[in-house]
Amino acid sequence: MEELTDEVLLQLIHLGNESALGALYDRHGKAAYSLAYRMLGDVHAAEDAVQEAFVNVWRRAGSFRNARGTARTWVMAVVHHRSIDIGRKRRGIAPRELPLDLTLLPADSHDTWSEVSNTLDRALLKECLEQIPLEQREVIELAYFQGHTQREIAELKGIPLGTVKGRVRIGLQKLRGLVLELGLGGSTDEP
Amino acid sequence: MSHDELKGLAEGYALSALDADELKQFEAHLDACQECLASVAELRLPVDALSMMNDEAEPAGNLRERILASARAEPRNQEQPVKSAPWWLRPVLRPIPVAAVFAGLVAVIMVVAVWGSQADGDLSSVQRRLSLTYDGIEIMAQAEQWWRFDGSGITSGAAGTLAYSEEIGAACLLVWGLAEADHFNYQVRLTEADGAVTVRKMWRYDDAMWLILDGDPNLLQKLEIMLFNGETSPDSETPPLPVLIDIPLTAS
Repeated sequence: MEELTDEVLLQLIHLGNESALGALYDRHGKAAYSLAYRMLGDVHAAEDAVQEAFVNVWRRAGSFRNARGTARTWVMAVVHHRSIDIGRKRRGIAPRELPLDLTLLPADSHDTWSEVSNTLDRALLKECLEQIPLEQREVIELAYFQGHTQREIAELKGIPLGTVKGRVRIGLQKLRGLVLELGLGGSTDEP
Repeated sequence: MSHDELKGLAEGYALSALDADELKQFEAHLDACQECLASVAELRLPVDALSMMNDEAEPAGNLRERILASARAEPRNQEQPVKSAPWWLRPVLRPIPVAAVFAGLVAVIMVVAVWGSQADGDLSSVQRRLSLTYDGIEIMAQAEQWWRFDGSGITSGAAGTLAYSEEIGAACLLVWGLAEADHFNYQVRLTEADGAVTVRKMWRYDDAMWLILDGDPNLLQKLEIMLFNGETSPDSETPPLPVLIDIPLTAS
């Protein structure tokens, strides 16, 4: 199975091949768990999130469409959503309605991630985030890693919703530019 | 909400940080707005980066087994998993003699095969599908040589991989991401030097197409798969058939 691409593994999973699911876990399980652990801060909850996410992948591998993004992106999105659900449940917050299927979205036309992911490591990515001004970074982290909605963040921080949206927008634009610069030697499509 | 207001939800959508109402409105809007769709697609990169920048944590050693056990317990709304196909459905894999039937006759030989892909539901269809996918997985598991196709040469939105096992003497082409509209019949054309490669089987499964070739694909100059409308004879030269896959392979 080592030679198979993620996309082929998903096809095999769709056909009911357990070894393919094991191979996909071997490839992305650690990154998935690292994300879940960061979001939930608890070993058992993180494991539950990863387990439920991979079982979702098992159930829905057939809905993956290669043209809409990479298999890794899809798997990590499933893990992210499961972690948000579990985190909110544990904090006694109402569960959220999350996007049903991220694979419905088109991939970035530059397909940059597949290029940069081969060359960047976690430390460099973290450096990118740290270069973003604190107030922008904070709202992004509250949304992505803590699973808060932008409206909840506005209430939490006592700032207008529009301000939260503006900070998120500028912060993500900066992060995209920084990752592109880092991964593609300064060749970006940023205006 | 105005377009500008909806566009302002793209970042929240990418981070999964919209309220239920906002999410519903934005998803409905995305169905019709290419501009917002493109905005969200551009946000994939920073969101992917966020997913990968975490300190590495080690999951429990038994998590893998727990996941597989949970998957095993899941009912599946599709045919029986390939791995548990009964022995009598499994084909005997045997090396295919590479003897070239048409060797030396012509410089280029076209091998044409046409399959119908709509025979769902009956036992023979299920049996054929299981048999094929088992063959394909077997070849991939033992393959020594791989090709990957994800751009030129393949119909828009599709990608594929070709695996060759010298030991088995066969290759498996798997193409995925095919549009539903292409779900009809196919014509396969292999261009080669001496006719040493032949089509063994072919099957369409949802958006994926499997094709098994007997022989060494290194001998192929070109592999093409075209739509066949079911009315025109596959041997007919007109009308030109839409090409789904056109893979140039350099003969070794």
